[in-house]
Amino acid sequence: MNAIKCVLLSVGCAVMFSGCSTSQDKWQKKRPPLVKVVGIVTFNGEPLSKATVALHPLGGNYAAFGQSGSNGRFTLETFEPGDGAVAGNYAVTVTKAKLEYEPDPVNPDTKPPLYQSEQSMIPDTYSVVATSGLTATIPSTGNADINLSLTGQPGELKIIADRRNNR
Amino acid sequence: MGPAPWTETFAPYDNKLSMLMCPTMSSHVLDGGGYQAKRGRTTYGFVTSDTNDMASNLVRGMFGKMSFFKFRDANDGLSNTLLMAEFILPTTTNDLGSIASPVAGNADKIPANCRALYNKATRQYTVAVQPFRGRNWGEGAPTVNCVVTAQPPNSPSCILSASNSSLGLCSAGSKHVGGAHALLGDGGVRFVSDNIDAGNQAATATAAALGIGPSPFGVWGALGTRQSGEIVGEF
Repeated sequence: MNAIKCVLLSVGCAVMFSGCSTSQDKWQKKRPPLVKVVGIVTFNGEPLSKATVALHPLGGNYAAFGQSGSNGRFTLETFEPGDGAVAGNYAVTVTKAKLEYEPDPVNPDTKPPLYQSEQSMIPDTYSVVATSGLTATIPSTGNADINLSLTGQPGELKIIADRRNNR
Repeated sequence: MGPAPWTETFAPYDNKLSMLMCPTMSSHVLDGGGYQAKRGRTTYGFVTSDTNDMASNLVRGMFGKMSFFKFRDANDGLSNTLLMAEFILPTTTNDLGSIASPVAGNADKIPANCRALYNKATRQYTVAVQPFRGRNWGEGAPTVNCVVTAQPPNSPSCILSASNSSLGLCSAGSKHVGGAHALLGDGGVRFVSDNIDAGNQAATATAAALGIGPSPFGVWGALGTRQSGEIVGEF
């Protein structure tokens, strides 16, 4: 009798624990394994803060991305914050732009606004895969630490809208 | 029919229609004040496509500006094409129901660049935001009543200019934990997980970049297109 109780108890526990361990849904189960990736982005030798770093898969299916902190350090995300990247080769883009915006004084919702401009704070070339020239290889074993050293001059001012003169 | 939905003096647009508000949506919707702040809200959006384009000649989804499509235009199959999806409204400052705008650095076109502007740990955007989402059920503006399937449900939203008619990536979402409901062309309503495969989040979500080709944004992106020929499979 005791033996039967014991068996039932064990089965009960097994069901309970398996219940706990299957908190992943079917999409999470299909995801490829990831490698933790951190890195640093510098511009002309100085840490670049608040820059968006994106890893574009070369052959793979999943991109990874992150935003640098004040020290230029970033942690990459593919599916969840800080989960890393799929092992493989990537083209890397870095974006950091300054934005100026002046809404229409009568109705701020008007499009286009009175003035909107954007200026890349790093060379424009880094924001596009075709011209960035930056690559990263994420190894399947161990963690990766990427070093992105950008150099050059800020991009040109791009006017997106300017109606200030026909006010 | 009434005047244009942006006519602020037309009171009927201020009516609160409970049918259009998901019961889980907080009663404390942040209006942000100003233009159209007192308009009746909606939490149900029309799926334009997997891109930020709706004004272009090439509308990849079932809804677009100055255009209409019939069921026969959903060549991917009505069971594989989305018509509508839920979204959330802002309830606290800078929260996920807001839309990041204005944005720079292609955040209105590249999902990865948009998602980098929202901190999931603090649940706050790190840039300026606007409260346009769902503000005025009579409004057809993309930021107000549309959903783009480039980013998975409950992702941030990013548009170029701080106007409700500006284009960008406006995500599905809900307060039901873990996903959002979506309406398919066959009339089926499905609860779609936040974890649904959304493919290459660094691809450019514009009609110019994608043409009539398959969606790079996985199963979720494929569901947003009507005739791009993706094999969606089980979802």
